[in-house]
Parts: sequence; structure tokens; C-alpha cells
Amino acid sequence: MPFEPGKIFAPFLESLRAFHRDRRKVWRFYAPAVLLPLLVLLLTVGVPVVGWYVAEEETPAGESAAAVDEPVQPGEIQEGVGPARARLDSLRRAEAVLSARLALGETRKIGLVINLAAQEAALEVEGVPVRVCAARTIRASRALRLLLEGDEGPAELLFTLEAEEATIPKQPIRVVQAPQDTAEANARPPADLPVETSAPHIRLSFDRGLVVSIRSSPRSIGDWLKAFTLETRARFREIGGHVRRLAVGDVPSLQPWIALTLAPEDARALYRALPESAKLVVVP
Amino acid sequence: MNHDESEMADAPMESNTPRTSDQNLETPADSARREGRPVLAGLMAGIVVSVLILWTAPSLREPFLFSGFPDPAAPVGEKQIRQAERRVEQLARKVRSRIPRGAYLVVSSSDNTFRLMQGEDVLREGLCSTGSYVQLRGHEGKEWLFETPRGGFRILDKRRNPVWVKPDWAFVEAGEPIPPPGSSKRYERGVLGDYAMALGDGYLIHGTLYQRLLGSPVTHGCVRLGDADLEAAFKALPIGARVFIY
Repeated sequence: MPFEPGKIFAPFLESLRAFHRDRRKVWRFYAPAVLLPLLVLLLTVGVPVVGWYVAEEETPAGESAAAVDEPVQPGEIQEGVGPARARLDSLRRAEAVLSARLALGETRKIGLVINLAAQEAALEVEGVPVRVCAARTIRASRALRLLLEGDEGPAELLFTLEAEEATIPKQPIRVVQAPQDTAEANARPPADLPVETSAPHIRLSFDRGLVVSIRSSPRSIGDWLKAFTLETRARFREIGGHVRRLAVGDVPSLQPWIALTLAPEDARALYRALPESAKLVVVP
Repeated sequence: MNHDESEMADAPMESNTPRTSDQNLETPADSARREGRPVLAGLMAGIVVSVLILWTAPSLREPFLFSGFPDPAAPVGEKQIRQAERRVEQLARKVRSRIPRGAYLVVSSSDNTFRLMQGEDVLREGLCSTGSYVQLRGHEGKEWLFETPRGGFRILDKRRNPVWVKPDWAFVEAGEPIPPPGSSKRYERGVLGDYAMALGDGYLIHGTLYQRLLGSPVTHGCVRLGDADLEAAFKALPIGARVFIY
């Protein structure tokens, strides 16, 4: 039998045409189909973007970074200002990164360093890198890059962890009731050794609105569903926050974010190692 | 065409399909349901698209973010650059000095692996065992959580042929009565291996009788190494050496 697509799709197209002839039906379908996504688009994209520009206008100009150095003396100005400016900017960025890493080491707690250029995430303890993880992918929002570069020189690169959530427990605790006597203790079978195979999905919220999302490739549908639920809940919380700020006449702020994909073992190790109020250094 | 024929030509064609009894009997509820189907379908389509938008919202915002045009750059002097280079060099030296020059140990309680390091060189690496995260609940409301602490530590003491001083949980776990502090039942030889290094608060790096369990989280908080690895670590790490556990 020859394959005739026209004959296969003709009834479907005819029913579509018939549907669109009935104006009432068309309105009833397209009104919720279009208005609901438009509302969600407005709350998740439009409002934060507007808030970003409003916040940019309101931010007062900080001290010029040039004031830190001695002023340029007459006759000292280099030829080829472009390369010299680029060199100075690069040195200032390096200075900001090193200062932040020193500050991280002084906390004497385990901290996280995310290097966007080198595509790495590392755990450091007292200034010593103890685990360097190559990220499969790292994406950072433009809002973060602009925040880090700042108008007057590199901004503060040290962030403090405020909240965290993940699809795996922070501590894989197993509760065991003590045996009544040695007979019961001896009769107990050896405990099964725990084996964790799930791919964790982690969301870390830092100060200044920074969100770091650590993902790993899902190994099962369960992993994917847990990650989807976690991210969707976070988006709804974000929308709720925007609505609350709008209700009091305030402009919602845009959350700068970093999304990195790591191997599941690395993601697990990073998440479980980070203490409360852990510090993060972002290297642009 | 005569008059009758023109009347017939103008008269509308009557459908010969009789109305079904169902259509004649449609209730208001049925009618409302039929009318509501497009709304429901539209709502479902709207929800699917909304979830897609929710999921991709962070990426959708990106094209709309600009920081405006940069101000014209201020002039840059040679002295400014040299000062900045000096500051960066000083800071880089300070950062490098944080890494211990002598041997130090790094333990991963997540993977149950260790690395014996000197500077940035790995002297030895292998499997170890760390805390099991078992929460033992005793009968009198006492609880113990067997986890290996994380952070930076120093070797405070080193012993050969260490004797294990059994804490209360060891007896509770075995279903035995807890003996008084000085009792001989508190001391057990040969279970900690040939060497032990103390990290403080009762946590040790020691050997084990259960070599086949290395690489698994099975301890009560201490770090267990295999015999050869323990000997190498014991010889390389002096008192005061750094141990990092994450």
C-alpha cells in the first residue's frame, strides 16, 4: 500500500479546521493556553529583568579602584592605553581572587572555590585544595558576571552559604537500636553496607542572591524526577518571592546563578563536605 | 422553469438525517461538560508550557541583561601596573605558603580514600574506612553518631602497638554491661593494628583487622588504613603534621 501522508493527516487537519471555525471553542481553548504561560513568563522573566535594571540605576557608584593606586603622574601615561588598561584590570582581578582565597583560608572551615574560566570546582581547607573537580559544564548567568566585574573594579568574590537543598541526605544516617544483650547482638546479621548510586542534584543559596546549582547526569528516572521536583519547587518559591515584593511595592531582584555539572561522586563529596555557613570564592 | 420548480430550487435542502435520541436528551450537565472540554484542554496545554517556561526561566532572562556601555577607561600609568604586580605577587606567595611543605594526609570520608601528600605531590594513595553514620540508640536515652569529623587537624600523638581503650558505646553495641572507667575490660590489644596517630577528641588514624572492608564507611569515627598504608603514613607524618578530612 503506498504511503500517502495526505490521507493519514487529512482527518486530523479537517477536525482542526472545524475546531477553528467555532469561535467560542477557540477562545475557550486559547485563553488559558496562552494567558497562563504569559503570566508565568512575566513573573519569572519579565519582572526579574525589570528589577535588575532598577537595581542597577539605584546602586550608588563606589570608590574608584584607581584611588587605591597612586594617581598617574604627568608624562607617565603609557602609549597604547588599551593593553595597559587590560593588564591593570587583569591584575586587579587576580588580586581580588587571591584576597578572597586568603580570606577563605582564614575561616579554618571547609570552603568551595568555583573557577569559571578553568571549569573547576574545588574544596579547600585552610587554604589547601583537597579535592579539585573538573566540571563537565559550567554556566553562569550574565547577572553574575556583571556583578563580579563591577563598575569600579572587581567586586567582593567571597560569598556565604545561607541555605541548601539536595536530592540526597546531607548525612546518610542509619538508626540502630542497641541490642538488649550479647545473645541478641550475636544473633543479628551483619549490617548491609550502604551503596549510594543515585546522581545528586544540589541547590546552594548564598548571600547577595547567588544560587549555585550542582547537577550530575541522572542515572535513573527517579533521579530525574527528584531533580525536576527540586528545581520546580525552587522556581515557585522564586515566583512567590517576586509576588511578595511586588505586593509591598518593591522591585524583585534578579538572582545571579551558576550551574555546574559534575560527576556524581564529586557532587556528593562537595555537598557533604560543606559545613553550615560555608564560604564560596568565585573566580571569574 | 415553472413556479413550482423555482420554489423547489429556492427551498433549502432538508437533512434526511434524523436527530438522535441522545441529542434530544442531552442534560445541562452534559452540555456544560462538552462546553468545558476546550477550557480543560487549554488549561492543560497552558500548564505544560508554563512548566517548560519555569524550567528554562534562568536561561530565558539572559539575552535581556546588559550593563550599559562601559565608561571611557581612565589613563593607566606604569607605576600603577608595577604596584598591582607587586601586590599580586605578595598575595600569591601567601596563598602558596598555606600548602604544607612537609608531608600531610588528605582523607575523603565521601569516597573512603586517602592521599599522602608532600606539597603538591602525591606520595601514596589508597582506600581507607571512615565513619558509618550509624546512630546507635542506647536504652537510657543515650545516642552516639558514628561520623568522622571534617576539617583541618594535626597529629597530636603517635603510638606503636596501640591499645584500644573501649568507650561506652563499644559495650552498648555488643549488648554488654558498661564497666567502670578503670576496669581491665576497657582495654583491648591487637585491634588497632601496628600503629595509631591521634587527632584529638578520641579520634585516631589506625589499622584494622577487617582489611576487606577498606573503602567502605564502617568505622565508629576513626580513620582506618591498610597495614602497608598505615606504616607509610606513620613514617612520613611527624607529630604536628596536618591532616585534612572532608
